[in-house]
Amino acid sequence: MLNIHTEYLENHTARLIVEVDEERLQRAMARAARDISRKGRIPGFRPGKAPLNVVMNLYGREYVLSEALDSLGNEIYREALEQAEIEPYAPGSLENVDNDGRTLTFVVPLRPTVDLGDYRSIREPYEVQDVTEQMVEDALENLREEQADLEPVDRPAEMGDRITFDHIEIVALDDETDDDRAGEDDAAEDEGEQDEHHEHDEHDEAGRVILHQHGWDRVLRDDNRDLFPGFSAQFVGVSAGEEKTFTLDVPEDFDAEDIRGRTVRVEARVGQIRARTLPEWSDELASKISNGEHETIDALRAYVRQQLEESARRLADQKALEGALEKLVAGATLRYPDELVEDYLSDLVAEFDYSLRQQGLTLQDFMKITGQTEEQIRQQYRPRAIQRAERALALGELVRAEELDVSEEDIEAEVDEMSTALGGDQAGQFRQFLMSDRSRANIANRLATDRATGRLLAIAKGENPPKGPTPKAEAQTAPAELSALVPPQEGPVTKGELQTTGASDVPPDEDTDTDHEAASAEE
Amino acid sequence: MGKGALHVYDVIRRPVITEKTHEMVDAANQYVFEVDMRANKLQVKDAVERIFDVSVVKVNTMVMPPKRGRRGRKFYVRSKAWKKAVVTLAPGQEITLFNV
Repeated sequence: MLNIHTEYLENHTARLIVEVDEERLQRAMARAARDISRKGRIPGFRPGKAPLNVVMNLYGREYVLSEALDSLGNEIYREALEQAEIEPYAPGSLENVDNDGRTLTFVVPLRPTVDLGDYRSIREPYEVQDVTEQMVEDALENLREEQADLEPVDRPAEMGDRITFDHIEIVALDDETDDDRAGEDDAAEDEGEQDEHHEHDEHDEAGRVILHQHGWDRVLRDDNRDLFPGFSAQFVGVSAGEEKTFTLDVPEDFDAEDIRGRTVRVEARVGQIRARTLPEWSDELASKISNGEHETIDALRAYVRQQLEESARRLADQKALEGALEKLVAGATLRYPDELVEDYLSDLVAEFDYSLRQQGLTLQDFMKITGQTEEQIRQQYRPRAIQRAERALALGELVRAEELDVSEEDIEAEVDEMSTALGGDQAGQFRQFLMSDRSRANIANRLATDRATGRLLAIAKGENPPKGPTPKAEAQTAPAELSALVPPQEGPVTKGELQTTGASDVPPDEDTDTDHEAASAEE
Repeated sequence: MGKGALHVYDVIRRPVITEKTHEMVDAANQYVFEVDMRANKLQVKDAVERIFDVSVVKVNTMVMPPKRGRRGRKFYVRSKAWKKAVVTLAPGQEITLFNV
């Protein structure tokens, strides 16, 4: 029986002050001395045979004590936890050794505690946007335009032509001080195919640069898919090689927040003009667009509508879920140690590093370029790590409270499904890979998350689902983006936060306007 | 002290601390030293008693033969002969200096 004194500290950690009895300490030191003399030969003694006092004379008491505490500390720590009935979240640390090794002070991060409160009363407005005929038409039109033939022409540009700008710069002129850089890239990311791409995230003398690119492609159009109203019209009649500078007022009700109601100045040089010949609608075209999956226009139209509806529903799900998650966390009483946030932070930074690596950079490079230290980067990620940690805790508790635990059979079933769906010929091999401990843990985690988010959504929609596992179909209402305990796609990048995604997230898809995003789901 | 006589601090060169001598301390209260070749038992007894402030019951001395070791194929190293003294202390007495 150990003599333990427990103090609970503020940040959900506990301090254990443990008295070790003398005899036990001596034994541990003798053991340590044996180990030391085994590793470092002591003249006159066979390895491991030198007695404690000889080793202490040679190496010093401090060293022997610290070696002894390496193992004894762990032993005592385990016993103390058990005796004090403390559940640690992470490995504790030996904070202090007093009294010649007889008093040990441990600091233990405690396992998080979650009280969800009255989560069953969470409600979120749930509204699926209607898919209008116009939206279907627009989506179809986008698909048709992808099939357009491009022909370089030697005449001034006309509406409907595809223009390559040698150089284009769009500046939102300053009419007010506006520090909100959120969504800066919305307008810029619409069309891709950039040869060179450098964005200037700075104020020049006249305003803020929204877009600055070379070799940028754009179709001139006079409908609602124009970059912003009136943009294309300015280039009608301009020939290749000509420069054009103009200013335009963007309407107050425009989608992209950062230029809404602002005056923008556009400076551009037109490089190449290509006329587009759109193929006529025919069953053949429909078949070509859908790679033979839909043989008639009507079938394609029905498919597109279905996809749009699906995507609208997903969007509504995601929105409601996001709100519900926020309420869930806000309504819950969460107590957790800092280590939890640190763990999530490390994950986030690792993810960031990974995303950089995909662009051929490393975190080290990034730190060098931006002149930031790792500590600064971590600091920037902290709010997100906290958000993640809290959501994960709340969802984890939801899994428990709603009896949604994932069983071995569930994992097996999921593995079977995935291996047949993805493995193809190598289904067996794939299955083996999926059955590894790590991958199983991931799958279990994802299943639990799907279930918890699905249940939370059902609750938020007022469906009042019964406790216990949900039928599979319902569980899948959780949008796929909400991968294991990760919050859904982040909203606009807020100021002071690192931009990790954005450009790399959206494939440079021709004519993907924000409000036509659904159309890109047709691949 | 005549000419060429040994000073007590010259008599005792070093304690011999090995597994074996360690056991001798526990088993027979015997301490082992390397002593000057010229030192006799009486000198050793006198030296130990004066330096460590203990009473010596018995001293055994022996000359350890030189040994030849080899370094590599050709080279031999020789260790010199030395005199070892096993000092038996009166019961209940100990030499704490070397902490053996």
